[in-house]
Amino acid sequence: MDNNTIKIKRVLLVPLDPVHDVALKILNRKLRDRGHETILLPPDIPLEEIISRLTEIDNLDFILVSRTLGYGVAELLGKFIDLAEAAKIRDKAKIVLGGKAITPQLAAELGFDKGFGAGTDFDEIIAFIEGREFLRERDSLFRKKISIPASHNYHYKNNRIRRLLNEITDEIIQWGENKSSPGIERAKLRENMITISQDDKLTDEEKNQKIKVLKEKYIAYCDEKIVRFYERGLLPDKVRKLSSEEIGKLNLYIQQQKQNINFKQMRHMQLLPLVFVQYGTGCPIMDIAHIKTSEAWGADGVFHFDPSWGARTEGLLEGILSHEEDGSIITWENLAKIKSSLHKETLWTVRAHRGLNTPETTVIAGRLGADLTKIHIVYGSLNGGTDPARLTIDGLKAIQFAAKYNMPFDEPTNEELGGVPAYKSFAGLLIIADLALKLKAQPILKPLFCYSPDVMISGKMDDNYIDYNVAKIKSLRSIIDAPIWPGEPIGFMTHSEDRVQSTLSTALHSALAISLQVDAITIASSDEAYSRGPISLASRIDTLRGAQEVFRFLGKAKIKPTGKAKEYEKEITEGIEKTLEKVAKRGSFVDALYEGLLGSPQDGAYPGRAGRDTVFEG
Amino acid sequence: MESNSKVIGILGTAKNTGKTTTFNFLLEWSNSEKIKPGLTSIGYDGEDIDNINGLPKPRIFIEKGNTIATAEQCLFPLKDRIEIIEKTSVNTALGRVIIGKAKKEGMVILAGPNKGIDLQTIIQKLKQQRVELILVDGALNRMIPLIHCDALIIATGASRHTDIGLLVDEIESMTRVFNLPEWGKEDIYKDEIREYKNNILIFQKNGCLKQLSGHSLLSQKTFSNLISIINDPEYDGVYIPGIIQETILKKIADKYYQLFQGKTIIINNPTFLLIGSREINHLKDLIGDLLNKGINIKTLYNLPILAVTINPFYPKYDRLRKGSYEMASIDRLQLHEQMTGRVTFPVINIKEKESSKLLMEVKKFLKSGNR
Amino acid sequence: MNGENIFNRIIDSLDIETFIVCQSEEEGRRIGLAIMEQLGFKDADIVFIEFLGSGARIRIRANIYKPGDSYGWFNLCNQKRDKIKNG
Repeated sequence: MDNNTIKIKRVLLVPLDPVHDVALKILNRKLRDRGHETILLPPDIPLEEIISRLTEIDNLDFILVSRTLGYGVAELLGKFIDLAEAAKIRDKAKIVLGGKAITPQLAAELGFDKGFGAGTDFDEIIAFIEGREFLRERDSLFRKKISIPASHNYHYKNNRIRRLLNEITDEIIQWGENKSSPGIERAKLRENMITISQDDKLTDEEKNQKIKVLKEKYIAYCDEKIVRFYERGLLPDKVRKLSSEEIGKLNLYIQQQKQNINFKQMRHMQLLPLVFVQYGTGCPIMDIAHIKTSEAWGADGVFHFDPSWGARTEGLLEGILSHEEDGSIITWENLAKIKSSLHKETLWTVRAHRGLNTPETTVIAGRLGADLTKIHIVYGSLNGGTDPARLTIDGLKAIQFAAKYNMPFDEPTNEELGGVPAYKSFAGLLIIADLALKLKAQPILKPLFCYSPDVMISGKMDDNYIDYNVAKIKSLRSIIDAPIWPGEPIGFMTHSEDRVQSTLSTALHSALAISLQVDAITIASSDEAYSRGPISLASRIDTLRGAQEVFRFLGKAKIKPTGKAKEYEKEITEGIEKTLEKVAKRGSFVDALYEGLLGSPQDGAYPGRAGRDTVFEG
Repeated sequence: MESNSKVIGILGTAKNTGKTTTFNFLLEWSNSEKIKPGLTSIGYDGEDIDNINGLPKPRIFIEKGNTIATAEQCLFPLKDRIEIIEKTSVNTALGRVIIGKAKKEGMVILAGPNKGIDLQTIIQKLKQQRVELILVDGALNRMIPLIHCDALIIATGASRHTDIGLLVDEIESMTRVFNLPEWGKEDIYKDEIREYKNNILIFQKNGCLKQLSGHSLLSQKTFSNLISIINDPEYDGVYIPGIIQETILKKIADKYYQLFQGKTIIINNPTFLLIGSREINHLKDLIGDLLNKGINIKTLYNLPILAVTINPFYPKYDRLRKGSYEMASIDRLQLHEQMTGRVTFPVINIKEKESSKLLMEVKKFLKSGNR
Repeated sequence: MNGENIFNRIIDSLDIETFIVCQSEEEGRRIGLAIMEQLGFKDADIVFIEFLGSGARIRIRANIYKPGDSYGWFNLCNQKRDKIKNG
């Protein structure tokens, strides 16, 4: 905000309330700070006297009236407006009403020129007075898509680790040369089908013909479950197509929802961390309800969560599909519909990360303009159920697609939840990050803020949840300057079914995140630990509010860990290095995965079986 | 080209007194009589749920071809049904006022101009659409913008007071104010004083006009100033272009009547006296008192009242369900009887058979010459 | 809201949080579900219960709509529009 360009306004502030004039006092201070001339009347003066005083003040630009609604107040405000008009005050000044229950509709009914209700930002009122468009400014301040990697240079700070990673990832790239898989072939075919369907030079008939040829090839790489759909129109269990009537309604619903332009401000004084929530209720309609509500309550980004069988099935379905269980099915049409509902400044991430459709999902996400995706070979192989060789080749290709479509991707180290110690998962994390950098992609490190089995056993969180989480972040930061996005969600395994406990735990982990100034966090809903049914939208809001409140509470203040944090940090960094040494020595990343160097059955990691023996040369 | 259409405004004494019900009644009638209506509101009307008490409100149903003036944001959901004729420069809390014509029948929300000068503009725009009758729905107890109408219907009811006596006193007082004689053509300075909009004027027998600083009679300071100047037997009267406060008028009647005896106090229009009154109820006695003491009160502009509509229903605050309201009613026959006994205008309950009387008044008014 | 089924306006579920006087968690659970049944909710579940001292702190959830259902609010918000459309 540049004070030199502001035209000075004369503003009169009128607290019509008998008691509540705090808001006007704050506004008064803010207006004066910006150089405006203001007069603040004392509260509770009779209307006639206010009007009489107003007639004696020259050149007023604005009159700001605040009043809480109550019995007979509407008539009182109506009379105020009438008096102001009869006293010729309206000719010169705009009269604005503010108060808890004030809406634009009510302001119109009462005859005011503008109304500001609960949750209005003071800056919004100031923007109105200064004749500026507020939304643009608000967007630029705290609802602006931020490129998460932009503020990081990916320079290594630990040379020993850099050299080890270099050795390991060179081997991966070499190994991957001339290899392919059904997943990669489908991704290429899907990419071609999308290109054809978007080619304006082709007629519909030509498109259909070309796509038909590709589709036949595509089906050849699919599992029976998917083949049944393409050949006989049969959908998997608990999956149904939305009717054309439902889709028509959904389009209207999206249109209506997009009219909301009021967003809660998530952060108070700082730009980071961005707050993400995941959706994946199974139903695109409900997903959109969750997304639009999360946006309104301040979420910066949302990410798409697909059903677990999606990772174990070769091939993707088509159409706008609803699923009765957790996870929303990935199809071009589902994702396109969801994408169309997003606010332009909402970050959207589609997880590709762990299964047999990783490259194809990356292609679809990329072609739809997703901001981010999620790929992690190590987690997907060790705890995600996919065969290590298969996911290595598919992950390699998916990372290339992510680079091609300019989508940074995050790497969730969820193998820690199985029991793999943090240092081992970080070794895997860094390998994939280094691989990504070689492939010109932008990796985002995703350590967990969690109460993992490993720390339960080792007692590293016996005293507090702070030290070890701080140590993880500091260790990664001592190795490379890369974006860090704790997840997923933060506070994993600290949540119970108790709404208050769960919200508070998320909030406190958010406090730690803002204190450490990480780039982003993913937060759970307050009923995430409740496993017998879907999460509810009200619970989703609980934790958004919780995070917001600690951001307000903490501002730029910091959480101070104990001396243990330093010890743990050293331990983790050394552990990472040792693990990498073993992997490098093994000389084969894929074999290292099979053999448990990055997480063994003793740790709670098991190489997956889905897609075993499907990698082929070519 | 503008039509000579007449403008009827509906002025309420409070929320929920039946303005929109009266508005809808006249709208339906004009459509059935093929009198082309033009519609707007100085508030926000047509939503199903009240903005303040959450109770159901009458919605507004328009026919194909009806012309409306409403805010941009109210038009958005109707954009398939309403043809936009003009985006005016008149602004409201819900965006600019748009003149539109219904391509199909259906419900609308009306939120039009919120001040007199804007209402004037919108009336002109509606006239350009060659409508034959312009209906302006009021808002709450607001009256000032409505002086730009050609005639008014006053809506009152239990929502204003549940005490019938108080309701009748108030309407009788309003009647009294609206029946004040107009500063007619035979009177001098008629044209001159219309030019003076910003200052209180004192006119003297010798034909001189004196200006006073101040345009409304609201403060003791302005009043003292006035007293000191008119302490001169050579003056004829005072014109107050702005608000005149009831308390000051009372001071004149009680303490300063000798100064004003045989003189005339001219007010701009009835609403400027009504708005200056804390208790409109007292005005009938106050005006009576002033007249008895030989003080004339006239209005520079006036407009006819076609009828008073009464609504016995009111939203009753429900104590058990905190913050919610329910519908309640006062004795409708008593309300009607007492009101008719004391008010010179036709008293009508729109929901009863007598509603046809309102139509007779409206027809009579439409046939009468232009002002 | 004349005649409209008000539960259509609930987006997914209705939670009740309260404290139930009971002798055990099991009893609290039974009472919680019975409350929902008496209120007329067929699909109910205990999201959370903690028994201590004189009773149980409980959160009971009635599912009004689960993902994939035909949501009342979804039909409604569009119906409202249709109503306007068709007059």
